[in-house]
Amino acid sequence: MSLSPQDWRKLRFPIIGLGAALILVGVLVSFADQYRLKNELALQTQQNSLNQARQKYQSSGLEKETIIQYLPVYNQLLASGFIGEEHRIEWIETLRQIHAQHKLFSIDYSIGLQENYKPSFLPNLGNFTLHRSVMSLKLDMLHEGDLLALLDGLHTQTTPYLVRDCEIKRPISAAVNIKTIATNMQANCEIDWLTLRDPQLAGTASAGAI
Amino acid sequence: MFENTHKIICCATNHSLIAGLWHGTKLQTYAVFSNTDDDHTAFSQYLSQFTDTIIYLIVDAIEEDYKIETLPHTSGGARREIIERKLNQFNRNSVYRAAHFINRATDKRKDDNFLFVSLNNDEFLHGWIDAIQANQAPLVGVYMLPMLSQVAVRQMKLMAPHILLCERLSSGLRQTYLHNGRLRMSRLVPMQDVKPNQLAYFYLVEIDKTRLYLTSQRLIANETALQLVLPAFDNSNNEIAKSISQEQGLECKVVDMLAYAKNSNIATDLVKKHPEFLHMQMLANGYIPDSLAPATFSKIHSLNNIRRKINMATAFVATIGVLVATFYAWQGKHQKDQFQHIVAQTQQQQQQYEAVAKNFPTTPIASGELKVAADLAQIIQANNQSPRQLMQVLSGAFEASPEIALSRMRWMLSNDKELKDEEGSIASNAQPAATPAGNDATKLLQIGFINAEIKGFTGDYRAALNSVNMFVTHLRENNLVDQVLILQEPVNVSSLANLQGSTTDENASTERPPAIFKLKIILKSASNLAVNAGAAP
Repeated sequence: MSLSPQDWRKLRFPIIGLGAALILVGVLVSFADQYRLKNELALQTQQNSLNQARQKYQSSGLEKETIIQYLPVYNQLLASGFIGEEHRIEWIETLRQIHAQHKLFSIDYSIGLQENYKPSFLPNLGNFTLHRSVMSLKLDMLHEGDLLALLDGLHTQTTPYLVRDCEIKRPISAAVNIKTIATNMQANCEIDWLTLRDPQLAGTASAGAI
Repeated sequence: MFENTHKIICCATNHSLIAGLWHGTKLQTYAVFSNTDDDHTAFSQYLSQFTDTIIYLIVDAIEEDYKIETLPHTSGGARREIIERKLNQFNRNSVYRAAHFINRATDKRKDDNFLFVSLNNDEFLHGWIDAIQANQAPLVGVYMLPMLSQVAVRQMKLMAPHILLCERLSSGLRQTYLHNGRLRMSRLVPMQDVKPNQLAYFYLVEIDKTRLYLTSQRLIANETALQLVLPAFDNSNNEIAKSISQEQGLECKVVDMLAYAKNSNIATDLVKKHPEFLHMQMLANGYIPDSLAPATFSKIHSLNNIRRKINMATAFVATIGVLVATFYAWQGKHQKDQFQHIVAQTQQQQQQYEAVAKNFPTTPIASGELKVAADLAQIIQANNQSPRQLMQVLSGAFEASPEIALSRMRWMLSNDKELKDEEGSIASNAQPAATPAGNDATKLLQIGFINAEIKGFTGDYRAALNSVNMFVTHLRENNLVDQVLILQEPVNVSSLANLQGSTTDENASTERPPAIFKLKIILKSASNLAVNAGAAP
């Protein structure tokens, strides 16, 4: 059966009605669905918050113990400069002290730009960000013990660091002169100066500074 | 919006038209119109009272055509096409025609058997059809009266294979032949001039004519046992039946039509007056045969149907939509209530925690973070090593091999055992390389590279190689050492490298090149050392 324009006119209102019903129903269902999804999401989030709050309350005893155990350690790390800003002046002063104390030949140092660092041997950084400044040390030595004295000195007096690479060179076939105090070998070392930052505390500090 | 339960069922003969208004299956009112111009107008006025009421039209005509045809079994569009072609072939000039499916043949091909029916002369219908069209009334279809008769025979459970139904209608005597309950042929004979005492003879003659026609059309054979069915409203038909039985030797069965009419929900007095009401009632009861009317005649009804279906779809969509939306809204509300309940519970937990936490020492960060910071510092301290251990290992080996002098030592801390010594690359370390598969990422290894030479080398390569091997053996014997690799030997005796020199090298007083070699030493990690120490007796 073919439909003429007149027939289509007869069907116009029912078709418009169906279209309008589809649109209205679509909008209505969509709104209702969004309302449901919004509440579902909020409920889920709130359920997680409740679980966390329960967990937090239940583990409050353990939390207290953790604070008592680790707060002094944390304060100590804060004081030593492992957490927070690098204490570069103090480090240079320490280096000079070691130099003077062990009567070493001159030590050339350079500290590079601080950068974010994610080493594979530290898988869990928590909320902290780890920073690294690469330090290069170059020193002439009477013997290899000079290097060990320097590194031991740094180890006892400064913040945690990692000696990553050290090279000691001696001229080929050169004999060690044991009669005079002169340079027999040269050492080049690369040390990672590691510091931790809590992003929240860093944010607070910046805001405070402003 | 939805279906109008009223319907007008008409039965048109050559001389008149009966129109009845049904509500469901109950006849409400009826009117009889003669086939005259005045009554056509009256019929039109009658219809105008019932706008949008659907109309069924039964035709009881004299000039009909019946033809049985076997067609290949098809379906869908192909079936429609083949039927249309056959209709054009048989009844090209007929407006009212239809193909009525009888059954499928029982032979191998299982062809479809059709009965092609048509009205050869539809002039008597023009007035009625014009009135219907003028009123834009929704005509559902036009139906042959015998098609409804076959329904009646089926309902009466008359199971004889060959039945000749003889109905006395307003228009005359209608004889309908049914084979296995299916309509095959029907003929109407007017009986205005037949006197009551001539009725039996009239029946006898007409039945004989029909029998001859059926035989000529090969619908039956001479010896076929034909069962004659005589619907009766009183006892008069018994006489006729008896007479026919005696004369023709046919089995005659008289059927009580009044009882049947009662069962069909139609008043018996009406059926007595107009036997066609029985057929009209059957249609009202829902037995709709194939329509003879072309599609254009029932277009208004089809459009109404489409409109009704669209409206139903609209109502369905709206209902389902509202139900779904209500369900979602109910779910949302339920979740909101739960949310508020959980918020209260959370606040309660937080208050309980805050009450407990009042006694905690003041901390700038979360307790978990305090532990993380302490653990990180500990791991870094644990990995903070100096070249001391490597120097001690080398010192022991050099004491055992005084002919070897160290010229360069490089110590590195890495978790990559495959680390290579690139001289001059000390200041180029940036981010650590990815840990190779198989190596423990959390373990930093002490890896040393040494460049050494044989003191006082005289050109005796064999002795130099022995010295190096001894030196390496001494290193390997140290418990702190995991691996020692010779990167370069004083002389390369490999078949894959060139070897040059002079046989007078050993005795020559000229300056010889030093016998330099390179080693890679990997020390055991602290954990491995602990394991070894534990395993030692």
